[in-house]
Amino acid sequence: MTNSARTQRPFPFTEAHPRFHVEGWGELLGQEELFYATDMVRHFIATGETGSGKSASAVMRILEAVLRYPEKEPYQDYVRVAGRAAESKESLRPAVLVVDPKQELEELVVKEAGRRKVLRIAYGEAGPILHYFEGRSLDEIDPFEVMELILTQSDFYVQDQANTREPVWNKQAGLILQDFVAIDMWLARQSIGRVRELWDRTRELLDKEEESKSLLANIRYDPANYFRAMATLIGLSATQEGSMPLACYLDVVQTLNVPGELTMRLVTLATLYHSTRSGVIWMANGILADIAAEEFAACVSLNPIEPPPAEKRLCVKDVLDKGDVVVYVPSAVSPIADMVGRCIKSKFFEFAFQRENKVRPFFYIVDEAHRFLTAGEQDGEQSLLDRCRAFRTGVVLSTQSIASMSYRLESSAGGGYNALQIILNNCGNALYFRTSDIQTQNHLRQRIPDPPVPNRPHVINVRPLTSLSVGSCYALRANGSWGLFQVHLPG
Amino acid sequence: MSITTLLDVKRPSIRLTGPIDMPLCYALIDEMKLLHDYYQYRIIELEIDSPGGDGDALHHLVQFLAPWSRGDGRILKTKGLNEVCSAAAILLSFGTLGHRTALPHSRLLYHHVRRTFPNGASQTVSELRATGNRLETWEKAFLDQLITHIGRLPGKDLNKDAYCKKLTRLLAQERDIDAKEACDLGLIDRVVP
Repeated sequence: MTNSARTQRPFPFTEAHPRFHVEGWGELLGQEELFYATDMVRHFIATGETGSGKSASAVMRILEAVLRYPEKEPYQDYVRVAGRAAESKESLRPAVLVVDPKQELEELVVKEAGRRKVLRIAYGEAGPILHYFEGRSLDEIDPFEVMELILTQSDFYVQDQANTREPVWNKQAGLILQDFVAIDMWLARQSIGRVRELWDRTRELLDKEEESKSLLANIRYDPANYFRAMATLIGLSATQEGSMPLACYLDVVQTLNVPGELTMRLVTLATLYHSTRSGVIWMANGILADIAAEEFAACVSLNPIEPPPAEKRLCVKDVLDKGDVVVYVPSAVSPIADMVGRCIKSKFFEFAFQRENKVRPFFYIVDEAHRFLTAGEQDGEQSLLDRCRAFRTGVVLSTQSIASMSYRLESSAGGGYNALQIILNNCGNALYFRTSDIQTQNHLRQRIPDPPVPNRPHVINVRPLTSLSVGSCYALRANGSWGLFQVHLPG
Repeated sequence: MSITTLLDVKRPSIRLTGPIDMPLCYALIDEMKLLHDYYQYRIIELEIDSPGGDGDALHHLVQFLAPWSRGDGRILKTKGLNEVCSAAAILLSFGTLGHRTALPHSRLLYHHVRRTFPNGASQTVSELRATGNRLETWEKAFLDQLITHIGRLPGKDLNKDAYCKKLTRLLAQERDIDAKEACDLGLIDRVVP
């Protein structure tokens, strides 16, 4: 058996594993407030408007249960059943990724983390940086794969591909960027110094032009913001004389003996008539506006050539191996912050499936989940949720309403109605708090059976979601049961 | 139709009118199960306006209502409306403690347990004797359960023997009492306007 096949082999929880203790959920779980591990990894979705009690009653209670896992008594019960085959308490302590846009969860994380390391990622703070190509050396990846991975995270590219009638411009822009990366990677395989030389000499050539002097400082190889040099060069190429910066760049490339097949598309672009060239350039500008943004580069490194320095790097593999906690605090409303969140998520799931040691559970707990949903083939929730439960990986999605999830997914390539349905169907545990969203109400009406007596109204018509009090919710559980219950907050 | 339900968002109410017999007993049990299990209500109001009825039906109802009477995660608010007699009065008193009420003008009658027979039914002497014994057993059981139930009222230091004698005397008197007197006797908790 190959190593890859071995690491991809699932390693699910069994009913014998220690159960999770969710405090305050007595009405739902019974007096002991215990939740089977097998049910915990069938994922949660909590919906409800602001002030409905969703965070305090659902998300924080689950997070607390995850961080305290395994607790003493359930673990002792497990050891009694499993005997010598029992997994150690330490090895069962979950690794957790928390996305906390409203900064409500972090305090709880710090309080319950125990001996775990808590790593905080936030723009404007000196936190760790995710290396998007962690675990892949320069020799293991090719430029096509690099750009493919990056473009799936770019809102501009993905939405344009999904919605525009002429995605050819966008596609061309992606290919142009791929060529820039390919040239850098080809030079980097000789030495990093060659990449520096390329960009430094391009800057020097352009320096002779008076108009663009103020921007030229950005045209240099910057390991911390890899795409900034490219973004500046492309930006300068949008004008009527835009072929000139490209020509300067290509001149330097030629002197560095870069193979012709890597530069062919760039040469063609430089020679195109302005109105045609600017179509591709504007698209590339759009993509680079996201991925070369300062806010993005402060949290995620897209540099395929070299990783951030070890002391600044977030090592996802280590976090999963050691059971640490990562808290990502995105800024209030920023598409770049959402993109960062999606990149971090996608990296954690990649490693969750591939890690050698699958005993340790992993939980992804995300507030305002609609901001971070994706519908990609590999890293989209509709693909992950079904597979990951067999890898002891649980997901907790907290969102304002199903309409907001639907809105986000409709703009994703491959997203839309079916992706939403798959996500909802895969969240075996669903908690519906007070909301006036019609879509959420309709969805719940379909999931709860009709009354057992004919000609009686459906429970949702009698007790609609708008009528629920704070901390009260409809709960549908992975075991098929459902009910309306009130969470009693501890203390 | 002697059972009518009003489905309110927060608290539903069932209005029980007419004589209490086995069909009505089952209809009430089904309705309460539907409200609790499907509509997920934990508080149900039962409004009663009934001349009473069969001891057999009452016996069955009291067994079903036990968790409601005890208030095990649920509350049965009983409310006497107008005429609340015999089995209906006992039913009223088996509401969750602290939630048994009656209107000021309602008349309540607590008397001996009776058995109603279908029209034209006849019984032999031995059958009548057995029926009599059964009624006595039920009456004793109702009294015991009622005293235990009322004795659970917090802060109420009930002398069970004295209270039993008081109730037995009331049953024998065959007289209507008003809501206030029922309240004084501990058979309901409050008179409501």
